Amino acid sequence: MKKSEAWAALEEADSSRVLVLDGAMGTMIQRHGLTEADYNDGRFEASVPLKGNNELLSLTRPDVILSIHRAYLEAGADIVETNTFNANRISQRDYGQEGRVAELNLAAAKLARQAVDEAMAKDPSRRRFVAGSMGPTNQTASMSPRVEDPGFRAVDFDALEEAFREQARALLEGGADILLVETAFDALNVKAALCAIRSVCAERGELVPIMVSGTISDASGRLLTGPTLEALYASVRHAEIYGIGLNCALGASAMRPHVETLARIAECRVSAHPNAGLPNQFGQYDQDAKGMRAELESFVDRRLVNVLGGCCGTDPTFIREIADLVRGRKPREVPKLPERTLLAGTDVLEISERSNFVNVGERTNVSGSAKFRKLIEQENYAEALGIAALQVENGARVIDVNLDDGLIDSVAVMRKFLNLLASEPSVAAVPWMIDSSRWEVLEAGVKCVQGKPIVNSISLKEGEEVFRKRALRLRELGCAMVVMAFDEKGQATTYDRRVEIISRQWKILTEELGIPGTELFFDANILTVATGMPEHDRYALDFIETARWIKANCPGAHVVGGVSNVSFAFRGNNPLREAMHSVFLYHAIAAGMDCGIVNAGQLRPYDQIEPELRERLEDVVLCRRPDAAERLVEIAESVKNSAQAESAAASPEWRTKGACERLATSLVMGVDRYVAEDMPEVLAELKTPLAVIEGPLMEGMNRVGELFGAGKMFLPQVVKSARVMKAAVEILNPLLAESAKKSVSAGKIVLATVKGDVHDIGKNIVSVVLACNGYEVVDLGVMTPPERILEAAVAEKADAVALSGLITPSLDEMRVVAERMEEAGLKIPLLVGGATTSKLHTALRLAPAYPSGVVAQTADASRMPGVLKSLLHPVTGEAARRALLEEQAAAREKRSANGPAAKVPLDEARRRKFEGEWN
Amino acid sequence: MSSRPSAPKSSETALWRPSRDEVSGLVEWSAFFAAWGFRGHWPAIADDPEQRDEALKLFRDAQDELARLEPDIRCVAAVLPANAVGEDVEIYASEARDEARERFCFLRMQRVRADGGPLYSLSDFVAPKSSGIPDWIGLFEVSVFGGTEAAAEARSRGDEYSALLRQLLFDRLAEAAAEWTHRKTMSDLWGIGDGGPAVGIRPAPGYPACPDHTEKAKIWSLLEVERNVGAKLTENYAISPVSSVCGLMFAHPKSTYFGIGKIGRDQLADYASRKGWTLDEARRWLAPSLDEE
Ligand code: B12
Repeated sequence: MKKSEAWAALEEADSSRVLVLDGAMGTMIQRHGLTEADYNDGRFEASVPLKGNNELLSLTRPDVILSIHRAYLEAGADIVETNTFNANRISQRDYGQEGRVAELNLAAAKLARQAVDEAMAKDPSRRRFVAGSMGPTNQTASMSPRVEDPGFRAVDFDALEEAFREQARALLEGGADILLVETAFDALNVKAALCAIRSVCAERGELVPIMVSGTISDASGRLLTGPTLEALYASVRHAEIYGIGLNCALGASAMRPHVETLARIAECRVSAHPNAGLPNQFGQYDQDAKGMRAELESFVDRRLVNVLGGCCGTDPTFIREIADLVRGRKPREVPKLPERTLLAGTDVLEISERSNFVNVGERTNVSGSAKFRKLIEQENYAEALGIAALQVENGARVIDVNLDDGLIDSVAVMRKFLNLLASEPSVAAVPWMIDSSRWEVLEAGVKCVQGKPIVNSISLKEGEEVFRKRALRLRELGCAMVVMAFDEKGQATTYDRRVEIISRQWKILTEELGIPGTELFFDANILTVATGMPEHDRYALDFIETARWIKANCPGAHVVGGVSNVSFAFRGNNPLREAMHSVFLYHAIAAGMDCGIVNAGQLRPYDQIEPELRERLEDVVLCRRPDAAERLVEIAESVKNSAQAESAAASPEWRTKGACERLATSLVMGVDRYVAEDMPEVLAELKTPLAVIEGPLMEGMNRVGELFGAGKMFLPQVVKSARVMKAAVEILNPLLAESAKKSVSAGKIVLATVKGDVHDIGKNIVSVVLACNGYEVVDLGVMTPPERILEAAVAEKADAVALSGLITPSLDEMRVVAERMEEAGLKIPLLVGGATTSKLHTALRLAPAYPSGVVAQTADASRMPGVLKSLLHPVTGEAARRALLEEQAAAREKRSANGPAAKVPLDEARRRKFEGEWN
Repeated sequence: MSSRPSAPKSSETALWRPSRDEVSGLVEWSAFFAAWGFRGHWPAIADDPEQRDEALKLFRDAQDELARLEPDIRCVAAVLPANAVGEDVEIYASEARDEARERFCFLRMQRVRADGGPLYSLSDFVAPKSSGIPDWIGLFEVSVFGGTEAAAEARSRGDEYSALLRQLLFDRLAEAAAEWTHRKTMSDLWGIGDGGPAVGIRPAPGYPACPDHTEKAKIWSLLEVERNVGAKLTENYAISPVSSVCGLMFAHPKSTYFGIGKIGRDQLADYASRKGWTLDEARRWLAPSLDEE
């Protein structure tokens, strides 16, 4: 698209100076002391008061808005922002004014235009600009407003795009030179805005300068919905933006480190318009213009910005200072950075010449993983998310999501699953590969993704027209893309066909459509070898050769493939398959393959593969001899068997170790058979029973605790280990002095199921897990009245009280115990667990009942020792307790700020009852 | 499709004492594995290389233990004349339907449903009184005795593993006995179906479709549970012995399980007045159905 005239003028202006953006609009409007009659002169029909809906003033009090623009221009602003921050149909819906959006934007843009034109007439020496302000709306497309339903979204991409399109169209019609997407707290909202703006520009036939300005909401430098600034930049880079920057939330000095980040990474202009410091307790800004200027000096000294202005709390005196500060000073120079691919989840992933192989997790794919498919079919999303998280834990740097299955509604399920994935921080952090053979699924998927995803895939299967259209659409939506070596005639299986198709695709995508090579991931088809068909023999080698060709002929582009295909002939023989993948990757990576879809948990290092096997695998992969496949099949079974033997043989061997080691191992393995046999030898070696407990037994139990805590051991094993511990301690007990018994305990815990509740099992499991971690447990059983709990806590000098309860009334009983503990002057931690308990309930109801202590809730028993240990720690316990209290206070605050989810009024709900159709 | 309620063959209260082997085929093992911290469904767990070995060991131990257990399984059930009045369901003393013996109170969903689906209440599955169409509702309670003692015996030997196994198996048997009773009630009392998987649903007070535990007391009085089975309710409406389940049975072919979710203040007040509770009492018993404020 050709760039607008304003764009050229802007570039000319910014080449030699820092441009000055105006200051706050709201602060200035407030000073006029307007009333409802100013906001609504009778022209709006409204069921709520309209005072505070500042955008309406462009129609009802144009004189006020015009005077504010004039004051800023007077003070030295080069760019003034239109009074349209909330002039979109989503925000205006709160006031019932969504029908007025076009009108409001048009009027506001005309006012700013008028002010700028007047200023230019007075002093034509400098060009001044109108920036159309586009706020983020009051909804987020990346987060659920409902705690209990993380997959829910109050607004989606399409609704946002539509709203922004309407706004952008009117702003440009009214004379805006620039569009400023500001105060962004959600990268997906921004992407929708960019899509909208570019489509309006396409209608008008010219691209206007777009500025994106984010708002940071926490100390780690992330937007509200999670993305870092690097990730935000990666998500918007495709849209040929004029500038990126930050505004609001922070004062200048707090904003500086983040502006530095942008200054380092952005290949476009950088802007900053901070608040006048931080608000005081009344929500007002105390910093004055000189104070802000002092903090902004380093922005200019260090040449961090191209555009500088003010946000909340600033007025023309601030802008005058800023204009004075930047006069005659050099702006930031836009850096030329090396070519690279940026992908993002909420964190950025950079792929350049120097970066390592990128492995894409393949387990969240219904056609690749039977387990995942079953979970999706059963709508067991919680566990399906677990699979995604596990891949990231195992080192996947991108995760592939494929939900193509005849039985499920892939579009709906893709949306749902991605929305849920977004709520899992470890998975949301990495970029996603949206994978489907259906275009609707791909398009619906990417519209749910914050950050910059890869789409898998497009090809020439349906001809050039479709290919072009889809590639352009993906580019618009800000996605990198997998391009498969497939054309109208079918899938490429030979080197020649691969090169033929890929060169044609490369030409269309880069030369014709102008898509940078760095956005492309060519999938040159990894196909199965050693199938017994001679025409398949060269499949792996041809892929490797194609990878080399791509790297030499398609600068910036990547080579990707689904690795497990190559070994498909050896289904059921995982040891062999894993070795084959390693050998294949070793050679493919050397040839230039830089991204692969793999099972991240299962790659064997190339140099650990046994030499004979490796040679035969290489014969196959590199097609080195005609009988390669037969020779591999010959040893395939023995590879499988020896791998099994290896794991089976591991166990008896431990019986040959020293006695202490044997005892500890018995414990870890939960085998009680050898305890009595080994004990005399252990006692002889360590002399005292206490040394046995503190030595091999504790050591073994610690290992069990760790393995279980890390999810590497199952509960039955833990319980069996506890049984071994008990058997061992029973042998030692008669020999043990009273004083010694105490010294081995990590602490004493009083445990009970509360009054009126009979559930026992969860409590018993907690007891076992605590015992495994060295705690002494006093179990009071089920249906325990509060008095007994208090009595035991005091009499036993307990270090903590733990309560279990599974039914609703137990929640209230827990509160009663908390109150009694407070009354009794106790300060020890109270832990609660069981179905129906929750972090939120604990924060809202239990913690306030026991202000002298702390109340912690954990979802399952395995987390409990960790929590207990941190709360009881002699040195850091205090800090841990304080952190918990703060977390709970924050939860309370957030709850009261968010308010309850919307409800259907009871009488309407009754009208919408299920109709039984009796007759 | 019309769904004319069908009259039961008998409205007597039935007592059954099935043997272990009669119900054990209905045990749902997934929940057993879930309690032990395994992920996913049985038998799929046995196909998962990560979990397979430990799961199979556990399964073998469970089968061995089950074969040794001697549970005392007691079930009581009845199908009674009933009609809906708003979200209440009246239970009548006789087919004349002129005197209500009891009145179950249910809640209604109030969440915003994007799919436009119905906002259910369990009362929707019973023909309204105003329609003049006679309808019925089933009630049941099952308890499996002996679990607490069997677990205590193992625990006294320091064998926590067997104790937990036994407790969980008794719980599974209780759930299986509930399924068994559901089928038996439908075929023998109601005359719907052939004893295979039952038509309709059997929600249990305390579960998401009817979160109010206090409704159990009505089942206790209608079925004379204490006399017929020997199970008791605690002051907070938990059932002793622990391996017990009670619930209602609805035969409407389109009846379905659902969750009430969070209710509004309007319904809280309405429900409190139907139950004769103060607002604070209502808050206590319905806590998870309310927005925490
Ligand atoms: C199995 C089960 C049963 C079994 C066995 C019950 C039993 N003996 O425990 C049977 C079938 C008998 C049953 C019956 C009923 N059940 Co039931 N049942 C369940 C189910 C599905 C699993 C419970 C379980 O055993 N889990 C396995 C154990 C190991 O887990 P756990 O007890 O939760 O303990 C773990 C953690 O919670 C934690 N933990 C537990 N305590 C503590 C304490 C501390 C300090 C800490 C740190 C951690 C901790 O660590 C444990 C291990 O990780 C739950 C649903 C659920 N999601 O929990 C419903 C559930 C508990 N049941 C429920 C209901 C309503 C009932 C019935 C009242 C239904 C009825 N009308 O008959 C009856 C009542 C039984 C009675 N005797 O009173 C509801 C309670 C809802 C509520 N808000 O009140 C639940 C939550 C189901 C639901 N979603 O609605 N149930």
